[in-house]
Amino acid sequence: MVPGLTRSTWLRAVAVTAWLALVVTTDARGQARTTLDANPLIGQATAIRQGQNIFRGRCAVCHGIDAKGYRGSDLTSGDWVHGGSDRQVFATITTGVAGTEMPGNTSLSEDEVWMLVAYLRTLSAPGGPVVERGDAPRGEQLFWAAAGANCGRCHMVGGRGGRLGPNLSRIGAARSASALEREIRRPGEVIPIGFETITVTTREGKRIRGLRKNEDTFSVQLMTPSEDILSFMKPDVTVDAEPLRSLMPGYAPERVSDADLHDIVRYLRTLRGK
Amino acid sequence: MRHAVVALVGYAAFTGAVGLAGAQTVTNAQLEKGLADPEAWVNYGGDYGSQRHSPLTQVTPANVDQLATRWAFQTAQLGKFEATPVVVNGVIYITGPNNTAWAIDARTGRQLWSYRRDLPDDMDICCGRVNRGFAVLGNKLYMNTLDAHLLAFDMKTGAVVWDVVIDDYKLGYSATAAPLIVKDKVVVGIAGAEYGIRGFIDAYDAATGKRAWRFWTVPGPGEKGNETWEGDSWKRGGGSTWVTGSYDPALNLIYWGTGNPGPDLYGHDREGDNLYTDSVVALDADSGVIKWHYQFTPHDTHDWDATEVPVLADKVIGGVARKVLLFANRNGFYYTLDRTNGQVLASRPFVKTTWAEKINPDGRPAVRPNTEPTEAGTEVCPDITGGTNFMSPAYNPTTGLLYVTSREVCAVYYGWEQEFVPGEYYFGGAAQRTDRGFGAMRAIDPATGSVRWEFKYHSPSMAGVLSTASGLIFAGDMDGNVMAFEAANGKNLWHFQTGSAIYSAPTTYLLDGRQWLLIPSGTTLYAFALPNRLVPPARTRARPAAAPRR
Repeated sequence: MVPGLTRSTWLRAVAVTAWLALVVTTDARGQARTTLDANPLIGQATAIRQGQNIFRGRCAVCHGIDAKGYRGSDLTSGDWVHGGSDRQVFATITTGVAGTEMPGNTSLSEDEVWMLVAYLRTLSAPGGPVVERGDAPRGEQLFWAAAGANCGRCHMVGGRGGRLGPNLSRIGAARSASALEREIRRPGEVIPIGFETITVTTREGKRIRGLRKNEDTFSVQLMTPSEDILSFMKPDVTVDAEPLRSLMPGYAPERVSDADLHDIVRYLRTLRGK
Repeated sequence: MRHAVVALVGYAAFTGAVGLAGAQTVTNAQLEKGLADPEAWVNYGGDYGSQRHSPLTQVTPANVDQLATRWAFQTAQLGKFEATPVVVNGVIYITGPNNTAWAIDARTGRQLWSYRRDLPDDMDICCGRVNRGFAVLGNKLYMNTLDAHLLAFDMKTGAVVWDVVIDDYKLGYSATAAPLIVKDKVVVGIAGAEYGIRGFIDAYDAATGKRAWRFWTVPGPGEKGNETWEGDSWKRGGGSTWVTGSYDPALNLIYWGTGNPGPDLYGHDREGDNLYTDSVVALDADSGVIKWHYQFTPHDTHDWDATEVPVLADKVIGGVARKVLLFANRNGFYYTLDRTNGQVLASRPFVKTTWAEKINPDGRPAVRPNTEPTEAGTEVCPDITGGTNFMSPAYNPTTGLLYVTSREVCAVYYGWEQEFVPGEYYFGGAAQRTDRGFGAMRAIDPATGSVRWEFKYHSPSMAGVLSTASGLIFAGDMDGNVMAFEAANGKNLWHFQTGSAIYSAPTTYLLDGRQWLLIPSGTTLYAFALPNRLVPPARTRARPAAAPRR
């Protein structure tokens, strides 16, 4: 394997660019282009197999080996947020999605992108997008109400809300309904970069818990629950990370009923960044 | 004004003297001398033995925390900056991503010339469009290219003197390593084992570019080792050679690490040991004929290329003076070999390693069951990038320790059968890290393979190492720090945040009586030196008490 990083490692590096903060991984070659509106390889067994190989090597790290979504969105739902035509899916793969972790895949050839599209078409649920349950307007109320789920205390939508949790302005484009339900009930399955929980202990014994904004061998930067940003030099403190623990509380059915959950998720699914 | 003229005349006389003393060409004697001439850096690994150990002592454990940037050179080239510079007569020659290159005044960081190759559009490179540096002989520089050519340059102008094809990039061949000069030959390695290539090591006439010999790392029919490949799988067997080897002039042997068999993560189409992949090979420097080999990972299915740098040293082991070869491997094991015959003298994991229990007395790994990649996934340590990788280690003959950038990461490996299409990606699987892992600088005792000390990094690093005779180790990390450690005990003495992940190794040279430290990082080449007036040690120590750092 050549210069140290495998293709899948490279992809992973893209996925964790913010994590590795400083990696420069831009390919000089531009992304693949196509003049075609329809996939010339659609339904071809060899192309689908090659597409599956490319998917598992390059895409699965975020979208999951079953393409049902993990860090990236669910690609089996039939719901194509950035357009479902062959040409639109081609463009999403090659140019990526601005403002998200989806990178432009600059080193794929035109053929390789069409192989991927051919494979993805075998995964989509027949009959188009599934009908989603829940009541979005009621979900929106619950999202913001202090007496409701109060999500807005920590999460921002369209410029309103808190800064502690990830901005949810386009979460409906990034996560499937089932992934959102899981994350509300049991936060911590996927913790985005910059939101991992750490505790810093000073020499005087003061303990400060917050979200890791950055860390290297010599320093750490975090945001406290009161949204203060602090920076510490490591010789002065000890740092304990809780990799699988989110600062977000888990919302059990006693606190958010199944019906309320469906309403909130339905609202979140409407958030497409516009 | 008069003062300025006087100063200029003085400077001209001085540089003239340097020019006469050093001449404008690099001889084989200089290459063999290596870092014994501390004003030059003429071999990829510093010396032919790749120890990356400089005799310079101006920067010491007592004053290293006063190192400061003197200049920075901006390349404007995105991509991983992996090169080791060549330094000759006050000029730095360095390559960048996409076969760019520059000659830079080592005093000021000002550019003397630049070069950029037009690369074909239909080139598929799996793992970064990088280059690891020039080689130098006479008045020529030599560079491998991503489209698998070897170029010779006029050192003074950067003009291409000749351009020869190593192999066909359309079949997946590419070249990223710095060449190795041995006598009148330019020895080069090749990359592309993710595309079903058949690997080799080539030697070219330094004057004309005519190929002198080729050693196939995957033997053909009738050759010894071909029987370790199932059917015709040898034709696409991989075995790249994408990191520069070492040379022992006394034994006249070239030592070179070889890469993974293909497809990387699926082995059922290529049953057998798959020689000479994941090995170190010892080749006669004049003929390219193999004298011995040692295979670290027989029948590899985890992409653990042995394309690390073989470090040559002379050591007493078990009371016997030995010519040894030190090798920290991507597969997680450290090895000390007898470089006259390839015998394993010591071996031990230097990171968490789960695929094998140990290396048996016969040199073969005691492989644990159920560590093969599967469709469902198998968790194995280390990860695909390995316990270490292409980043050069350093060896200090005084401490007797090998300093290795070590990576603690595990992965779930998936493997599946894949049809081979010439020139197309041929990996046979995928791997995903189980967590973010961490890195460390580890000092390994070659007598036993045990780790003497470590300094932990927040993230797994891909940066190389430099050792100096003043008892310092310089290294870098993935979060952008260049760092100095005390060679004896690993105490961190200095760090500087460069702003980008480091993929190269620090280098050092003496110029005008001053010791310089170079580190490529991101789009920048940084040059550090001590200030003209050092803060006296006593005052340095007093400082924190007077003004505590918080």
